[in-house]
Amino acid sequence: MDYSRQSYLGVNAQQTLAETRIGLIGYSGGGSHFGQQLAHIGIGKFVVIDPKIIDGKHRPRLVGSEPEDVTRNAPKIEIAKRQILRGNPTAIIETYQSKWQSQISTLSACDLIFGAVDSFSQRDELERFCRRSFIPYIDIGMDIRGTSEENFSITGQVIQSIPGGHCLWCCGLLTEKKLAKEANHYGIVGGLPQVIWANGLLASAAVGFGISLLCPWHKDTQKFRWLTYDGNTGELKAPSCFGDLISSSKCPHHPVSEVGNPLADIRNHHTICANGLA
Amino acid sequence: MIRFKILDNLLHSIRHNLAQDHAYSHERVGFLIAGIDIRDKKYTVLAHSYLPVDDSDYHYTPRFGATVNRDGLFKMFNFALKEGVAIFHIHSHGRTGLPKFSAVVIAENNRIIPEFFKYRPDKPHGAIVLSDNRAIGRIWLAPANPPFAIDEFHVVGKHTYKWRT
Repeated sequence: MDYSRQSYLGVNAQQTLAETRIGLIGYSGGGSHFGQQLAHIGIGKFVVIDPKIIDGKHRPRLVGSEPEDVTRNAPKIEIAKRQILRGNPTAIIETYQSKWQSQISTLSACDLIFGAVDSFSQRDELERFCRRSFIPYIDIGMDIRGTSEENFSITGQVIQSIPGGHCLWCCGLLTEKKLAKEANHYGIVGGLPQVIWANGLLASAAVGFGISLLCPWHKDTQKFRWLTYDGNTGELKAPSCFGDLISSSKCPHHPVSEVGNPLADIRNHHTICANGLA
Repeated sequence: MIRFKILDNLLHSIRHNLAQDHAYSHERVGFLIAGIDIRDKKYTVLAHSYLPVDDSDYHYTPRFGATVNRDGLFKMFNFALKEGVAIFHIHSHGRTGLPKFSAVVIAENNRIIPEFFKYRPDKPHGAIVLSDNRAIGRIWLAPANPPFAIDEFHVVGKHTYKWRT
Protein backbone atom coordinates (compact mmCIF):
# COMPACT_ATOMS: atom_id res chain seq x y z
CA MET A 1 0.00 0.00 0.00
CA ASP A 2 1.26 3.47 -0.87
CA TYR A 3 0.46 5.77 2.06
CA SER A 4 2.36 8.77 0.67
CA ARG A 5 -0.74 10.99 0.61
CA GLN A 6 -1.09 10.68 4.37
CA SER A 7 2.61 11.20 5.05
CA TYR A 8 1.78 14.46 6.85
CA LEU A 9 0.78 12.25 9.78
CA GLY A 10 4.46 11.84 10.59
CA VAL A 11 7.62 10.02 9.57
CA ASN A 12 6.78 6.94 11.62
CA ALA A 13 3.01 7.25 11.35
CA GLN A 14 2.42 4.09 9.34
CA GLN A 15 4.48 2.02 11.73
CA THR A 16 2.56 3.55 14.64
CA LEU A 17 -0.77 2.79 13.00
CA ALA A 18 0.31 -0.73 12.06
CA GLU A 19 1.23 -1.44 15.70
CA THR A 20 -1.96 0.09 17.09
CA ARG A 21 -4.62 -2.22 18.44
CA ILE A 22 -8.11 -0.82 18.19
CA GLY A 23 -11.27 -2.11 19.78
CA LEU A 24 -14.53 -1.74 17.86
CA ILE A 25 -17.58 -2.25 20.03
CA GLY A 26 -20.64 -2.76 17.88
CA TYR A 27 -20.27 -3.46 14.18
CA SER A 28 -23.30 -2.09 12.44
CA GLY A 29 -24.25 1.40 11.27
CA GLY A 30 -21.37 3.19 12.98
CA GLY A 31 -18.92 0.35 13.59
CA SER A 32 -18.77 -0.73 9.95
CA HIS A 33 -17.59 2.75 8.94
CA PHE A 34 -14.93 2.57 11.66
CA GLY A 35 -13.68 -0.78 10.37
CA GLN A 36 -13.57 0.33 6.76
CA GLN A 37 -11.76 3.63 7.35
CA LEU A 38 -9.34 2.42 9.99
CA ALA A 39 -8.33 -0.52 7.80
CA HIS A 40 -7.70 1.71 4.81
CA ILE A 41 -5.62 4.15 6.82
CA GLY A 42 -3.37 1.31 7.97
CA ILE A 43 -4.41 0.27 11.47
CA GLY A 44 -2.81 -3.14 11.95
CA LYS A 45 -4.67 -4.77 14.82
CA PHE A 46 -8.38 -4.97 15.50
CA VAL A 47 -10.60 -6.42 18.17
CA VAL A 48 -14.18 -6.47 16.87
CA ILE A 49 -17.02 -7.39 19.17
CA ASP A 50 -20.68 -7.72 18.24
CA PRO A 51 -23.05 -10.43 19.42
CA LYS A 52 -25.56 -10.19 16.59
CA ILE A 53 -26.11 -11.75 13.20
CA ILE A 54 -27.10 -9.56 10.29
CA ASP A 55 -30.73 -9.28 9.24
CA GLY A 56 -32.43 -7.38 6.48
CA LYS A 57 -32.89 -4.28 8.63
CA HIS A 58 -29.11 -3.92 9.06
CA ARG A 59 -28.30 -4.05 5.36
CA PRO A 60 -29.14 -0.42 4.47
CA ARG A 61 -26.48 0.89 6.83
CA LEU A 62 -23.92 -1.87 7.41
CA VAL A 63 -21.04 -0.96 5.11
CA GLY A 64 -19.55 -4.00 3.42
CA SER A 65 -22.56 -6.24 3.90
CA GLU A 66 -23.89 -8.25 0.97
CA PRO A 67 -27.34 -9.73 0.25
CA GLU A 68 -25.97 -13.25 0.79
CA ASP A 69 -24.94 -12.32 4.32
CA VAL A 70 -28.61 -12.00 5.23
CA THR A 71 -29.51 -15.26 3.49
CA ARG A 72 -26.91 -17.22 5.40
CA ASN A 73 -27.43 -15.42 8.74
CA ALA A 74 -23.84 -14.20 8.87
CA PRO A 75 -22.53 -12.90 12.18
CA LYS A 76 -21.67 -9.21 11.90
CA ILE A 77 -18.14 -9.96 13.02
CA GLU A 78 -17.64 -12.08 9.89
CA ILE A 79 -18.59 -9.12 7.75
CA ALA A 80 -16.24 -7.00 9.82
CA LYS A 81 -13.32 -9.32 9.19
CA ARG A 82 -13.98 -9.45 5.47
CA GLN A 83 -14.34 -5.69 5.19
CA ILE A 84 -11.25 -4.88 7.25
CA LEU A 85 -9.12 -7.33 5.27
CA ARG A 86 -10.24 -5.69 2.05
CA GLY A 87 -8.87 -2.39 3.36
CA ASN A 88 -5.76 -3.82 4.98
CA PRO A 89 -4.91 -7.40 3.95
CA THR A 90 -2.19 -7.64 6.60
CA ALA A 91 -4.42 -6.63 9.51
CA ILE A 92 -4.61 -8.95 12.49
CA ILE A 93 -8.25 -9.22 13.50
CA GLU A 94 -9.72 -10.79 16.59
CA THR A 95 -13.48 -11.16 16.45
CA TYR A 96 -15.89 -12.09 19.20
CA GLN A 97 -19.56 -12.81 18.74
CA SER A 98 -20.43 -11.89 22.28
CA LYS A 99 -21.13 -8.99 24.56
CA TRP A 100 -18.07 -6.81 25.03
CA GLN A 101 -18.29 -7.36 28.77
CA SER A 102 -17.26 -10.98 28.13
CA GLN A 103 -13.98 -9.88 26.50
CA ILE A 104 -12.54 -7.54 29.10
CA SER A 105 -9.14 -9.19 29.10
CA THR A 106 -8.76 -8.81 25.34
CA LEU A 107 -10.09 -5.27 25.33
CA SER A 108 -7.78 -4.17 28.10
CA ALA A 109 -4.86 -4.62 25.68
CA CYS A 110 -6.35 -2.15 23.18
CA ASP A 111 -4.74 1.24 22.62
CA LEU A 112 -7.98 2.94 21.68
CA ILE A 113 -11.64 1.92 21.70
CA PHE A 114 -14.42 3.12 19.41
CA GLY A 115 -17.96 2.61 20.61
CA ALA A 116 -21.08 2.50 18.49
CA VAL A 117 -23.50 1.07 20.98
CA ASP A 118 -27.24 1.44 21.25
CA SER A 119 -27.85 2.43 24.85
CA PHE A 120 -26.81 4.95 27.46
CA SER A 121 -26.11 2.20 29.98
CA GLN A 122 -23.68 0.53 27.55
CA ARG A 123 -21.91 3.85 27.01
CA ASP A 124 -21.67 4.37 30.74
CA GLU A 125 -20.19 0.90 31.31
CA LEU A 126 -17.81 1.18 28.38
CA GLU A 127 -16.50 4.57 29.43
CA ARG A 128 -16.01 3.36 33.01
CA PHE A 129 -14.02 0.38 31.75
CA CYS A 130 -11.88 2.61 29.52
CA ARG A 131 -11.21 5.06 32.33
CA ARG A 132 -10.16 2.31 34.71
CA SER A 133 -7.86 0.87 32.02
CA PHE A 134 -6.39 4.20 30.80
CA ILE A 135 -7.76 3.65 27.30
CA PRO A 136 -9.04 6.59 25.22
CA TYR A 137 -12.68 6.07 24.26
CA ILE A 138 -14.45 7.61 21.28
CA ASP A 139 -18.21 7.38 21.20
CA ILE A 140 -20.71 8.09 18.47
CA GLY A 141 -24.47 7.98 18.53
CA MET A 142 -27.46 9.30 16.70
CA ASP A 143 -31.16 9.65 17.09
CA ILE A 144 -34.10 10.35 14.77
CA ARG A 145 -37.31 11.65 16.25
CA GLY A 146 -40.60 12.82 14.83
CA THR A 147 -41.22 16.48 15.59
CA SER A 148 -44.61 16.59 13.92
CA GLU A 149 -46.59 14.38 11.58
CA GLU A 150 -44.30 14.86 8.61
CA ASN A 151 -41.15 16.25 10.19
CA PHE A 152 -38.24 14.40 11.67
CA SER A 153 -35.15 15.62 13.45
CA ILE A 154 -31.78 13.86 13.08
CA THR A 155 -29.29 14.50 15.84
CA GLY A 156 -26.06 12.88 16.90
CA GLN A 157 -22.79 13.28 18.73
CA VAL A 158 -19.11 12.39 18.60
CA ILE A 159 -17.29 12.44 21.93
CA GLN A 160 -13.67 11.74 22.76
CA SER A 161 -13.20 10.75 26.39
CA ILE A 162 -9.67 10.42 27.72
CA PRO A 163 -8.69 9.54 31.30
CA GLY A 164 -8.01 12.74 33.19
CA GLY A 165 -10.30 14.78 30.95
CA HIS A 166 -14.02 15.45 30.92
CA CYS A 167 -16.43 12.63 30.23
CA LEU A 168 -19.82 11.64 28.85
CA TRP A 169 -21.39 12.67 32.16
CA CYS A 170 -19.68 16.07 32.16
CA CYS A 171 -21.26 17.03 28.83
CA GLY A 172 -24.67 15.68 29.77
CA LEU A 173 -24.84 12.83 27.26
CA LEU A 174 -25.24 10.61 30.29
CA THR A 175 -27.57 11.59 33.12
CA GLU A 176 -29.30 9.64 35.85
CA LYS A 177 -32.62 10.62 34.29
CA LYS A 178 -31.68 9.21 30.87
CA LEU A 179 -30.40 5.98 32.39
CA ALA A 180 -33.51 5.58 34.51
CA LYS A 181 -35.79 6.25 31.55
CA GLU A 182 -33.88 3.77 29.45
CA ALA A 183 -34.00 1.15 32.20
CA ASN A 184 -37.77 1.54 32.49
CA HIS A 185 -38.21 0.99 28.78
CA TYR A 186 -35.73 -1.86 28.54
CA GLY A 187 -36.90 -4.50 26.09
CA ILE A 188 -39.72 -2.50 24.53
CA VAL A 189 -37.73 0.10 22.59
CA GLY A 190 -37.75 -1.79 19.31
CA GLY A 191 -35.56 -0.94 16.32
CA LEU A 192 -33.99 2.49 16.58
CA PRO A 193 -34.12 4.60 13.41
CA GLN A 194 -30.70 4.91 11.72
CA VAL A 195 -29.41 6.12 8.38
CA ILE A 196 -26.13 5.44 6.65
CA TRP A 197 -25.13 9.01 5.82
CA ALA A 198 -25.46 10.27 9.38
CA ASN A 199 -23.62 7.22 10.71
CA GLY A 200 -20.90 7.74 8.14
CA LEU A 201 -20.45 11.40 8.94
CA LEU A 202 -20.24 10.80 12.69
CA ALA A 203 -17.92 7.82 12.27
CA SER A 204 -15.63 9.80 9.95
CA ALA A 205 -15.31 12.58 12.52
CA ALA A 206 -14.58 9.98 15.19
CA VAL A 207 -11.87 8.35 13.07
CA GLY A 208 -10.32 11.81 12.67
CA PHE A 209 -10.27 12.20 16.45
CA GLY A 210 -8.67 8.79 16.84
CA ILE A 211 -5.95 9.34 14.27
CA SER A 212 -5.11 12.72 15.79
CA LEU A 213 -4.54 10.97 19.12
CA LEU A 214 -2.15 8.48 17.56
CA CYS A 215 -0.45 10.68 14.96
CA PRO A 216 -1.16 14.30 15.91
CA TRP A 217 -0.69 16.57 12.93
CA HIS A 218 -1.35 19.77 14.90
CA LYS A 219 -1.06 20.84 18.51
CA ASP A 220 -4.39 22.58 18.88
CA THR A 221 -6.26 19.65 20.38
CA GLN A 222 -8.11 19.00 23.60
CA LYS A 223 -8.31 15.92 25.77
CA PHE A 224 -12.06 16.13 25.70
CA ARG A 225 -13.64 16.63 22.30
CA TRP A 226 -17.33 16.90 21.62
CA LEU A 227 -19.20 17.52 18.40
CA THR A 228 -22.95 17.61 18.00
CA TYR A 229 -24.69 16.87 14.73
CA ASP A 230 -27.83 18.44 13.38
CA GLY A 231 -28.82 16.19 10.51
CA ASN A 232 -31.46 18.61 9.31
CA THR A 233 -29.07 21.53 8.76
CA GLY A 234 -26.08 19.26 8.10
CA GLU A 235 -24.02 20.97 10.79
CA LEU A 236 -21.43 19.08 12.82
CA LYS A 237 -19.87 21.42 15.37
CA ALA A 238 -18.76 21.89 18.95
CA PRO A 239 -21.76 22.98 21.01
CA SER A 240 -21.81 26.54 22.33
CA CYS A 241 -21.20 25.37 25.90
CA PHE A 242 -18.03 23.45 24.95
CA GLY A 243 -15.63 26.26 25.83
CA ASP A 244 -17.17 26.73 29.28
CA LEU A 245 -17.05 23.00 29.92
CA ILE A 246 -13.38 22.45 29.14
CA SER A 247 -12.35 25.53 31.11
CA SER A 248 -14.31 24.29 34.12
CA SER A 249 -12.88 22.22 36.93
CA LYS A 250 -11.79 18.63 36.45
CA CYS A 251 -14.13 15.75 35.75
CA PRO A 252 -15.78 14.83 39.06
CA HIS A 253 -17.18 11.56 37.76
CA HIS A 254 -14.00 9.58 37.08
CA PRO A 255 -11.15 10.41 39.48
CA VAL A 256 -7.85 9.32 37.91
CA SER A 257 -7.03 7.35 41.05
CA GLU A 258 -9.91 4.97 40.30
CA VAL A 259 -7.91 2.67 38.05
CA GLY A 260 -7.18 -1.00 37.66
CA ASN A 261 -8.61 -3.57 39.99
CA PRO A 262 -8.33 -2.45 43.63
CA LEU A 263 -8.81 -6.05 44.73
CA ALA A 264 -5.93 -7.39 42.62
CA ASP A 265 -3.59 -9.26 44.93
CA ILE A 266 -0.15 -10.07 43.61
CA ARG A 267 0.20 -12.92 46.12
CA ASN A 268 -2.38 -14.90 44.17
CA HIS A 269 0.16 -15.00 41.35
CA HIS A 270 3.17 -16.33 43.24
CA THR A 271 3.44 -19.29 40.89
CA ILE A 272 3.94 -16.87 38.05
CA CYS A 273 6.50 -14.95 40.05
CA ALA A 274 8.48 -18.08 40.73
CA ASN A 275 8.29 -19.52 37.24
CA GLY A 276 8.57 -16.36 35.22
CA LEU A 277 5.99 -14.60 33.10
CA ALA A 278 4.34 -16.19 30.12
CA MET B 1 3.87 -9.33 29.72
CA ILE B 2 4.12 -6.21 31.86
CA ARG B 3 2.61 -3.00 30.60
CA PHE B 4 3.06 0.39 32.27
CA LYS B 5 0.57 3.19 31.57
CA ILE B 6 0.77 6.82 32.57
CA LEU B 7 -1.21 9.96 31.68
CA ASP B 8 0.63 12.51 29.55
CA ASN B 9 0.08 15.49 31.84
CA LEU B 10 1.28 13.51 34.85
CA LEU B 11 4.44 12.48 33.01
CA HIS B 12 5.01 16.07 31.97
CA SER B 13 4.70 17.36 35.53
CA ILE B 14 7.03 14.64 36.83
CA ARG B 15 9.72 15.56 34.31
CA HIS B 16 9.31 19.19 35.32
CA ASN B 17 9.65 18.38 39.02
CA LEU B 18 12.66 16.12 38.55
CA ALA B 19 14.44 18.79 36.53
CA GLN B 20 14.41 21.28 39.42
CA ASP B 21 17.69 21.94 41.23
CA HIS B 22 18.14 20.87 44.83
CA ALA B 23 20.32 22.57 47.43
CA TYR B 24 22.68 19.60 47.89
CA SER B 25 21.31 16.57 46.08
CA HIS B 26 22.71 16.06 42.57
CA GLU B 27 19.31 15.05 41.27
CA ARG B 28 15.73 14.65 42.38
CA VAL B 29 13.68 11.51 42.80
CA GLY B 30 10.02 10.86 43.46
CA PHE B 31 7.46 8.10 43.79
CA LEU B 32 4.69 7.16 41.43
CA ILE B 33 1.39 5.91 42.80
CA ALA B 34 -0.29 3.26 40.70
CA GLY B 35 -3.21 0.91 40.44
CA ILE B 36 -2.75 -2.57 39.05
CA ASP B 37 -4.69 -4.90 36.82
CA ILE B 38 -3.83 -8.56 36.29
CA ARG B 39 -5.44 -10.60 33.52
CA ASP B 40 -4.27 -13.81 31.86
CA LYS B 41 -0.69 -13.46 33.17
CA LYS B 42 -0.59 -9.92 31.83
CA TYR B 43 0.15 -7.17 34.32
CA THR B 44 -0.86 -3.58 33.74
CA VAL B 45 0.43 -0.85 36.00
CA LEU B 46 -1.67 2.33 35.86
CA ALA B 47 0.31 5.24 37.29
CA HIS B 48 -2.06 8.03 38.34
CA SER B 49 -0.30 10.26 40.87
CA TYR B 50 3.13 11.47 41.85
CA LEU B 51 4.65 12.20 45.22
CA PRO B 52 7.86 14.21 44.99
CA VAL B 53 10.40 13.72 47.75
CA ASP B 54 10.38 16.72 50.07
CA ASP B 55 13.50 18.87 49.92
CA SER B 56 14.34 18.01 53.52
CA ASP B 57 14.06 14.28 52.89
CA TYR B 58 17.19 13.95 50.76
CA HIS B 59 20.24 12.43 52.33
CA TYR B 60 23.56 13.91 51.33
CA THR B 61 25.94 11.34 49.97
CA PRO B 62 28.64 11.96 47.38
CA ARG B 63 28.35 8.38 46.07
CA PHE B 64 24.79 8.64 44.77
CA GLY B 65 23.02 11.23 42.65
CA ALA B 66 20.19 11.29 45.16
CA THR B 67 19.15 9.20 48.10
CA VAL B 68 16.02 9.47 50.20
CA ASN B 69 16.45 9.45 53.97
CA ARG B 70 14.44 7.26 56.35
CA ASP B 71 11.83 9.97 56.95
CA GLY B 72 11.20 10.25 53.23
CA LEU B 73 10.96 6.50 52.81
CA PHE B 74 8.61 6.08 55.78
CA LYS B 75 6.26 8.64 54.26
CA MET B 76 6.06 6.46 51.16
CA PHE B 77 5.74 3.21 53.13
CA ASN B 78 2.86 4.70 55.11
CA PHE B 79 1.22 6.03 51.98
CA ALA B 80 1.36 2.58 50.37
CA LEU B 81 -0.04 1.03 53.54
CA LYS B 82 -2.93 3.48 53.89
CA GLU B 83 -3.91 3.83 50.25
CA GLY B 84 -3.40 0.24 49.10
CA VAL B 85 -1.41 1.17 46.04
CA ALA B 86 1.65 0.10 44.09
CA ILE B 87 4.65 2.41 44.48
CA PHE B 88 7.37 3.07 41.89
CA HIS B 89 10.57 4.94 42.59
CA ILE B 90 11.24 7.32 39.69
CA HIS B 91 14.09 9.54 38.58
CA SER B 92 15.40 10.92 35.30
CA HIS B 93 18.65 10.62 33.45
CA GLY B 94 17.70 13.33 30.96
CA ARG B 95 18.87 13.00 27.34
CA THR B 96 16.72 11.12 24.82
CA GLY B 97 16.24 7.48 23.88
CA LEU B 98 15.91 4.48 26.15
CA PRO B 99 17.73 5.12 29.43
CA LYS B 100 19.55 2.46 31.47
CA PHE B 101 19.63 1.58 35.13
CA SER B 102 23.09 2.29 36.50
CA ALA B 103 24.73 -0.26 38.78
CA VAL B 104 24.39 2.18 41.67
CA VAL B 105 20.65 2.63 41.06
CA ILE B 106 20.12 -1.11 40.74
CA ALA B 107 21.82 -1.67 44.08
CA GLU B 108 19.79 1.11 45.73
CA ASN B 109 16.51 -0.18 44.23
CA ASN B 110 17.30 -3.74 45.33
CA ARG B 111 17.64 -2.44 48.86
CA ILE B 112 14.56 -0.17 48.94
CA ILE B 113 11.85 -1.68 46.75
CA PRO B 114 11.44 -5.02 48.58
CA GLU B 115 10.85 -2.98 51.75
CA PHE B 116 7.51 -1.82 50.34
CA PHE B 117 6.19 -5.38 50.52
CA LYS B 118 6.37 -5.21 54.33
CA TYR B 119 3.73 -2.48 54.15
CA ARG B 120 1.78 -3.48 51.07
CA PRO B 121 2.45 -7.13 50.20
CA ASP B 122 -0.57 -7.44 47.90
CA LYS B 123 0.71 -4.96 45.30
CA PRO B 124 3.75 -5.02 43.04
CA HIS B 125 6.34 -2.27 43.44
CA GLY B 126 9.16 -1.09 41.25
CA ALA B 127 11.41 1.55 39.78
CA ILE B 128 11.34 3.70 36.67
CA VAL B 129 14.12 5.63 34.95
CA LEU B 130 13.06 8.40 32.59
CA SER B 131 14.84 10.05 29.73
CA ASP B 132 13.36 13.16 28.14
CA ASN B 133 11.26 11.04 25.77
CA ARG B 134 11.37 7.42 26.93
CA ALA B 135 11.50 5.31 30.07
CA ILE B 136 12.42 1.86 31.27
CA GLY B 137 11.41 0.08 34.43
CA ARG B 138 11.66 -2.91 36.70
CA ILE B 139 8.87 -4.45 38.74
CA TRP B 140 8.98 -6.71 41.75
CA LEU B 141 6.09 -9.16 41.99
CA ALA B 142 7.39 -10.63 45.24
CA PRO B 143 10.07 -9.30 47.59
CA ALA B 144 12.26 -12.39 47.53
CA ASN B 145 12.25 -12.83 43.76
CA PRO B 146 14.29 -10.84 41.26
CA PRO B 147 12.42 -8.08 39.42
CA PHE B 148 11.10 -8.27 35.87
CA ALA B 149 11.71 -5.69 33.18
CA ILE B 150 8.65 -3.68 32.14
CA ASP B 151 7.96 -4.71 28.53
CA GLU B 152 5.88 -1.84 27.24
CA PHE B 153 5.22 1.78 28.18
CA HIS B 154 2.04 3.63 27.19
CA VAL B 155 1.55 7.37 27.49
CA VAL B 156 -2.15 8.25 27.35
CA GLY B 157 -3.44 11.69 26.50
CA LYS B 158 -3.87 14.13 23.63
CA HIS B 159 -1.00 12.25 22.04
CA THR B 160 -1.27 8.58 22.91
CA TYR B 161 1.83 6.53 22.16
CA LYS B 162 3.80 3.54 23.36
CA TRP B 163 7.19 1.92 23.08
CA ARG B 164 8.74 -1.43 23.87
CA THR B 165 11.84 -1.65 26.00
